[in-house]
Amino acid sequence: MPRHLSERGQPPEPGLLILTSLAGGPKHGYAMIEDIDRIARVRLGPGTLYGALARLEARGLIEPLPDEERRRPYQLTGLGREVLAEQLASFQRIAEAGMRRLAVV
Amino acid sequence: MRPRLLIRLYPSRWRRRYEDEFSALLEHEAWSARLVLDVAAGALAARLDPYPASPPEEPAMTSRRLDTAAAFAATLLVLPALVVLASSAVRLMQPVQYQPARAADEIFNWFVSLNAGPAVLVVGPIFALVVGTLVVWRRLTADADLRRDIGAFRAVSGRLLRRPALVAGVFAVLGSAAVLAFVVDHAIAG
Repeated sequence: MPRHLSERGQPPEPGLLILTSLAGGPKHGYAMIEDIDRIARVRLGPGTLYGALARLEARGLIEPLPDEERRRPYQLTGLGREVLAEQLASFQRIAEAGMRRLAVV
Repeated sequence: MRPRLLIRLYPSRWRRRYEDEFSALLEHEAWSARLVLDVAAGALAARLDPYPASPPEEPAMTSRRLDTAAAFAATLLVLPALVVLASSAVRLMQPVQYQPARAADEIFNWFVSLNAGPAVLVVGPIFALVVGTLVVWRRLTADADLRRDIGAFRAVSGRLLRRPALVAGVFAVLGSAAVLAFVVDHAIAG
């Protein structure tokens, strides 16, 4: 396979993947990794995941819940939900335009 | 053990906030070079990022320094009493013309000449007891890591003590080493 076809491009930004995962309900780290693997076929490493979690928490897009036996779940905040909706709508517009131009749909 | 080593790459402000949950997550992950690189890169990013911010830790730091100062003050309050009692015991173990009974006797006699018995032997230890108890109580209530470490220490000690072969073996080794050291010392000294 030619190299340019074997490369699937850059994986989505971890923060977006985390917000998307948490849109389905609160999850702790391991559940997020599994969920993101399932929905995006991207397996985030623990360092990548917690780097993104810290940034999202600092921006007020997610918030921690009380921990459950050392595993702390996180959930979307209202602001996080708004930001995710805006980003996904933007991606959807771009995706639809691109697909039309490629005459895939 | 491996997760602990990896987590130590992160800055302390980050570990205070995420260590528990992060180590629980690492326990699920298979050991690989990719994992180590990912965590090392995460640790580097955490050292460059301002998240989580450190300013909220400052009051805790001040409180910890106050407790440290109070604990050292309590130690200084009880130290003279300990020296006097130790001197009193040592001077009774040997004739006072031999060391260390001689030095202990001089210390004890100097203390008696001060007429400071009640202050050194009663007031100082009472203050030390109150201050020390307060510091220990404050540290235990303020520091979740400390409580967890004590719990882990108790659990490990309990597991070790439930192994009679280990306890008896360690006692035999330490006891025989002490006896042999004593015998060798006396043989050399004549």
